Amino acid sequence: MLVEAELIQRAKQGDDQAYNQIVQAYRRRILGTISRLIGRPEDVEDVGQEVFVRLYYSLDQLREPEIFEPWLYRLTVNAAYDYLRKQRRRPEARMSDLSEQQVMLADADAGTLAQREDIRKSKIRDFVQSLLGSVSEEDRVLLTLKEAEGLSLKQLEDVYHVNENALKVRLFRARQRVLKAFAKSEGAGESPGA
Amino acid sequence: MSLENSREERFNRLMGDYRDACPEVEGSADFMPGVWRRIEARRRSVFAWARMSRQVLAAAAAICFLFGVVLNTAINSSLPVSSYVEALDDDDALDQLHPASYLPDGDRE
Repeated sequence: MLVEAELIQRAKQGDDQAYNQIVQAYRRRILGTISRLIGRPEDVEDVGQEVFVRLYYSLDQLREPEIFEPWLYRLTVNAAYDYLRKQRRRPEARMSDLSEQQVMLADADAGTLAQREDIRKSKIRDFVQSLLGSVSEEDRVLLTLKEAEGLSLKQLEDVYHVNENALKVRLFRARQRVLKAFAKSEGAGESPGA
Repeated sequence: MSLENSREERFNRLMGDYRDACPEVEGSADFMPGVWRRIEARRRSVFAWARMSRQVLAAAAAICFLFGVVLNTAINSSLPVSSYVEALDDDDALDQLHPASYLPDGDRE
């Protein structure tokens, strides 16, 4: 854990200073997770703030400070779900939606090595986001937590409150669905490595 | 089978690249003040709801009380206060008999 159990206990009792310290400690990690879950950098801060507001109002329901991290992950996942559900109604053009010519023009503008590297990363991000966008929000979030965040099965068990076997089945199915979309995009030559 | 495996490997590699491609997000300088603004806004709205529901509750209690008083008064005023015999005794209508009504013989002229 990034903070002591005693600090969480103090925040639970209404100590705003303790709460501020918790936010400072977890801010970077949570924003990174949100960034990978929702895939829209412009909205990461907004969703992050929502997570910490929910944390403030639900801290008194936390029974043991030891399970604080899975608790915070759960709040993060729920806030990401809410965001993704809202976004489903507002489609926006992304790099992966641009025509090949537009992407080539963007490439040509980026002359330096660093800029090219940025573009490569951006393409990977957009490709994975579009891949994950082809499956349900549940699959997307679960796979991101497992594959991109690197959470263990034990940690996922704590976040989802389900047993390991059920989780393995869900993960396997989610992975199969994404792999199917991956095979399709590879066939169409859309993969960044293609 | 090997095609499937190599696809899985490529997918795993892609997810690893994705992890590296996602930038570290620090959040702006306004992050923390923004969190507190939201907390305060939510607290204000919760207080406003609590105040409003208290007022509604008080108004409902007052209406119930008034209704009870009115109902009680109405019931009390419609109930007879004397017994049946007292009511008959008090009733003047029986003393003023109709001219054609029966009278004892001695009273006739």
